[in-house]
Amino acid sequence: MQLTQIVNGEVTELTLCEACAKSKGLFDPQSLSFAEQFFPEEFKKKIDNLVKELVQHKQNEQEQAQESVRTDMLTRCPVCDFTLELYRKTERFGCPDCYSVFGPEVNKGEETTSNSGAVDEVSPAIARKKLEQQLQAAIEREDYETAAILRDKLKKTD
Amino acid sequence: MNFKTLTKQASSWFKNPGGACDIIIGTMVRAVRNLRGHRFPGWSTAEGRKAVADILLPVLRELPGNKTGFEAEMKDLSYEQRRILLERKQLSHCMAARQDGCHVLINKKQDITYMVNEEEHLAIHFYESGTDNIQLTKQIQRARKTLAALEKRLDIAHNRRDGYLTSMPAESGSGLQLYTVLQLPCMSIAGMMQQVTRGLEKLMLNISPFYSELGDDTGHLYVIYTAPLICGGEEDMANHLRNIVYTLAEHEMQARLKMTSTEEGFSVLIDKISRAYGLLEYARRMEYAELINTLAMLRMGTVCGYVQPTDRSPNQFLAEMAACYPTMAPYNMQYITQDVAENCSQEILRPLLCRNLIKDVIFTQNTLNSEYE
Repeated sequence: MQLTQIVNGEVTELTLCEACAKSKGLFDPQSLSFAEQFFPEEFKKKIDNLVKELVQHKQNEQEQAQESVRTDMLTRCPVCDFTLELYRKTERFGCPDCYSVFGPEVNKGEETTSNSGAVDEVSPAIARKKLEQQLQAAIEREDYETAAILRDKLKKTD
Repeated sequence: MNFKTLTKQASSWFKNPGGACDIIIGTMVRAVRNLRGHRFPGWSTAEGRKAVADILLPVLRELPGNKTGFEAEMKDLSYEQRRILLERKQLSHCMAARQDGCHVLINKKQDITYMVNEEEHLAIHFYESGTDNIQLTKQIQRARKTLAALEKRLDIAHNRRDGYLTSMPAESGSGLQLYTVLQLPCMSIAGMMQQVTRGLEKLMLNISPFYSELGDDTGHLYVIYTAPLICGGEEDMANHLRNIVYTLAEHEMQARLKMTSTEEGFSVLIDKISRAYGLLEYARRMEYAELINTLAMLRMGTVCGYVQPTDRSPNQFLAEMAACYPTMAPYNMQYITQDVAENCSQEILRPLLCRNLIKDVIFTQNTLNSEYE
């Protein structure tokens, strides 16, 4: 259903499916026009809440999508493309860097050390991926100061 | 060293097995290492394996004894050549199936095999033929010395928590594994091997037949091995395995003593040894598995004093018999005789060679070795 409201010259348009409209108590067009006519302020409040709810829902969906992308990053080794599913089937890893990527799964692997025993960073490919993720997150939360630092770090890895 | 020269020498497992005792054939330390930033061979491509080989081979060639040793890429080895190396126990089954970018190096003394791109980027087998006093700790030190020389020049994948990283996370740790090969004919005849297997499982050790492709009990030879060792526990495990090996050797001796102490047992034992002697003396056709079983009985008969060489020492005779294990194997015989896939002629040739082996060897049923009296 199409809902158009004009209050003090301000136009608000809303398109809702039948199920959503019913769940929000906006099914009967006649009652709507009645409410609009006799209780314009309450009606505006209700519509505002409805818009807020819908916007919030859309944001949640986006966050969930980003979360699933992040989860996918942890199920595939960026160095050798070996997947967590393959590890579960074969109990083998694709490369030494898989120890860092799938560490939580096997309860093993944190930082790697060289022969001398000194602690090294994880492989450049994994480090770059992590920086990219952090940069994306900083841009999304509009933390441009951190984003600039992360961008410079990324440039150094090139 | 070319392949023909390699096959002319006895493989390290069988050079001098047992010393004065025929029970302990030999020991082996397996060491594995992987390079950082490269896919494990099982998940790699031919190009990836080649890149790993290009890093490892120049370093391996510079190790002592390798310049004059044997080196080959697996794709250049024929099926028969791979089978010969398997018969000589100088190659793992996994490596025998490899192709491009996988290399095998065997040092001049033939007591170390280096395998590039086996299950791991580098797998090294250190062999020592059995003596009365096995020195597993010394062998571990020998392996460590070689590995330390390699680690100075290679970027080895290592993790503070897991130790040396391997393709199987459950096997990461020190990257070392210990093996011993025992010949236990009397315990096998007495039906004690199932009991031994259960006992070893409880002691965190594994047992499998040495000639698994020929049957479970061929030659009464068994491999007893540890799981891949954790960091810091190598010496303890070496002593643990050593103690178990000695205990088993003692049980085998006791089983022989027990058999000879009763009339029934003695008749069973002497029957098996005399049949083995008779087979080698009079057989006209002989399969490899039959030969291995026959030699096992004859070796036991020699140590017990029933079979005595007149022109050489019993130890020398034991070593000669042990050398027959790899040289009389089907593919090795085929290669030496250049007799292409003619099993029947091999079967005829084996008893002929064996008759030469037991020349000047007498069978004395009534003689008992002093240690059994």
